[in-house]
Amino acid sequence: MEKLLIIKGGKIFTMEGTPLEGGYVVIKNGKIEDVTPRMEIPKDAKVIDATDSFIYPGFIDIHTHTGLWEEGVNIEGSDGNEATDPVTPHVRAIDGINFHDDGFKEAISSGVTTVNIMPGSANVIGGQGVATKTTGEILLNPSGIKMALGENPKRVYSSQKKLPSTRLGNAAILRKTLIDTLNYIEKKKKDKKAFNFKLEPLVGLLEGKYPARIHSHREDDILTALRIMKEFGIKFVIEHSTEGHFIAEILAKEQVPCALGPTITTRIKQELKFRTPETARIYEEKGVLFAFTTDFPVLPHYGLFYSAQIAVRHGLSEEMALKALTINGAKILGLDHRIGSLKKGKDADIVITNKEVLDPRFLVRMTIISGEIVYEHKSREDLYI
Amino acid sequence: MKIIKAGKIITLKGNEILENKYIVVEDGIIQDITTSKPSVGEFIHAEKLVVIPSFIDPATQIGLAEEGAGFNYYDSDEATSPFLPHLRSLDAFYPKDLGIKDAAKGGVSYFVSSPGDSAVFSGLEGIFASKGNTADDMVRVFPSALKLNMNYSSRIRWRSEGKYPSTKMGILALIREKFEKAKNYEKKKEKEKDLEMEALLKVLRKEIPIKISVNTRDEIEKAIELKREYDINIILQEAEDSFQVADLLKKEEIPVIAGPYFIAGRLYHQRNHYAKNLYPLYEKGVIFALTTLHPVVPVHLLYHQSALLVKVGIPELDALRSISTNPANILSLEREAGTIEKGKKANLVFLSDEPFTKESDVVGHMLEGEMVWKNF
Repeated sequence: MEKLLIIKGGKIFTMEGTPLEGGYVVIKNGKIEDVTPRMEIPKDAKVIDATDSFIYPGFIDIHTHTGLWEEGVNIEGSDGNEATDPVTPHVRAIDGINFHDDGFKEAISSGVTTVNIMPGSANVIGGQGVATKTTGEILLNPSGIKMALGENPKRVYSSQKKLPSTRLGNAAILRKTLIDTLNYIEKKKKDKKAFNFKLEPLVGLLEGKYPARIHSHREDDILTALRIMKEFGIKFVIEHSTEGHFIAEILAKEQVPCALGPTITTRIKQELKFRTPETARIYEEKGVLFAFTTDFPVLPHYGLFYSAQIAVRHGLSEEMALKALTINGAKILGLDHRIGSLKKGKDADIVITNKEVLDPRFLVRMTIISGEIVYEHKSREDLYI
Repeated sequence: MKIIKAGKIITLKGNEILENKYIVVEDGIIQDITTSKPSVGEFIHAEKLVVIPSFIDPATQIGLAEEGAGFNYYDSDEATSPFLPHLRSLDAFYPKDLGIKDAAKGGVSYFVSSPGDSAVFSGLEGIFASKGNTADDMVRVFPSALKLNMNYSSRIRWRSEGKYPSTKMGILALIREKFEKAKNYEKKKEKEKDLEMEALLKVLRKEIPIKISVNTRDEIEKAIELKREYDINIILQEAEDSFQVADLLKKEEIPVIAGPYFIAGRLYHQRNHYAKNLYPLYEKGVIFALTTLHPVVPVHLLYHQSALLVKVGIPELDALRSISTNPANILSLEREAGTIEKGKKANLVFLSDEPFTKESDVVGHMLEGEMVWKNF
């Protein structure tokens, strides 16, 4: 039998009710065996003394391009957008990811243990995402179908003099492709040999096996996404949701989850004009389920914490800020049975820090993923800051 | 007269920290810092706040790269020729750029707005204040420097067009050719006025420094060669590899403008672009300042960015200096800004708590005696 690994806290943010002041997190076979205020430590257990530290579940970023756009590499490592056709549901993020890229090391040393990596937003239908631990342990593949509305597909394809060069074109392509898929499903019922490699991933989408993850910044784009997805009965997540604060009541009523961010970038595009650090607070007030995202490499993974810190300074509660870094992301990925909180039976993804993560000076002391210590801060050299 | 009753003042004059003092402000200048309560004046109650010098961003494109308008409204990069030293950022400065209000709210009093990035000689930059209605109201120093791009992005631009200069050799040849031409121009007794040459002469006469964007160690070394060869004042920008030549930079007294750091997606020549690599500069005493390169990172995040320096082991006061005192020195504003002292401009940031704590935020900003942001 494997030995127990025990973390002696410290303030333990379980994300399952109020934090424990002192206590123990017990790890066995990569899973959380127990979280308890007191225990007798078995003689052969390995104990990590974190009494002066803060203990969190591993942090989750539900929208990144980690390893798809590689760090320190130019065009040779740029694999985020198959921008040759606006409809590419058949391409898979997992096939383009360099799991040895420094982006993963930065994520791990920043305390980010799970990322949802997706193709970029050049295409209306960009391809299949994958949810993975930052060690490369795959959680969900596909985790959803990446889609994009708004400026990006317009910009990419108008420069190629192709459809779509307008928002009308974006919506028409999306709707037509979904109709094509419905026709294909009917055809398959009649002809067992019918097979369309490109449309096959959208069959799973229409069957509800995984959601659409739709890049949309502006209010009108978010509502276009909502309209089309309702038309076809597809589950979906709004990615970025920059103007979501204008329609937070609708998002709450329709139970549309949002990946919020990156919130600390410049408004370089017109569709970012109304970006505000208030959005998270408004989502909390109106009851929108949301998680912060960095859109790595737009922000480094550690930008997740700055996004949360700045939102707290604009009225978001600390409790909700921590949820939007952990359990909310797990829920939006449909992985809250495995990750997102410190609870018996969940994966032992644990981050130990020297200060609270809402303190801008905090450093990660240790990152544990599936029970393994994968990062231990020893000197300035091991930082990716 | 305005009187600020301050709970705590971090003056950044050495390690000086003052408690329960009155800062007396008139005509935009700090007239006095005193313990005895002045009798008349408009009181600003900051008893529960921490007052620090306001911030300066020494390298942005605010006013030129307008936010929220889309890429077609960017007016920062005149990428039609490698030699454009006579361009002036003041001439394209849009005073209603959203970034200027952000700067005021984020405690950034002054920022440099610079023409960039494609031309090797990309033009003259200036120092602006984050208040005022017109470019002329806002400009404080013009020109403050000539911008030179010896970095990767410049030469790759001309290479993609098949034009000279497309290599490091080509860039250095162009720079020397133009400096030699400017020296000859200066010697001529009767001459037609040449705006391009006039811009270079300002540098050769040391009226303004030349601010050079470089990435790698060899580019830094070549910039230092130019400094020696032409006896000019240089400031390095970006300079990701500067930690490898920290001793040399200290010896030559060359300052570095570093950052921004809230980004990933490094290219090959930026592979050392980490805040931890500023530690050797701090250790050796090289003067460095942080920048956001707005719009690369929003200007109001300058303060948040400086928290990264604390993370990598640089003391908190030195992290604050990197966004106030040091950029003031680099931009030759040290007599009027960068610390809280009698006789300097009343450029102050009000923090809700000790710097860098979870509770600490910029809740007020006084710029030349005027409250441009107040949320307390």
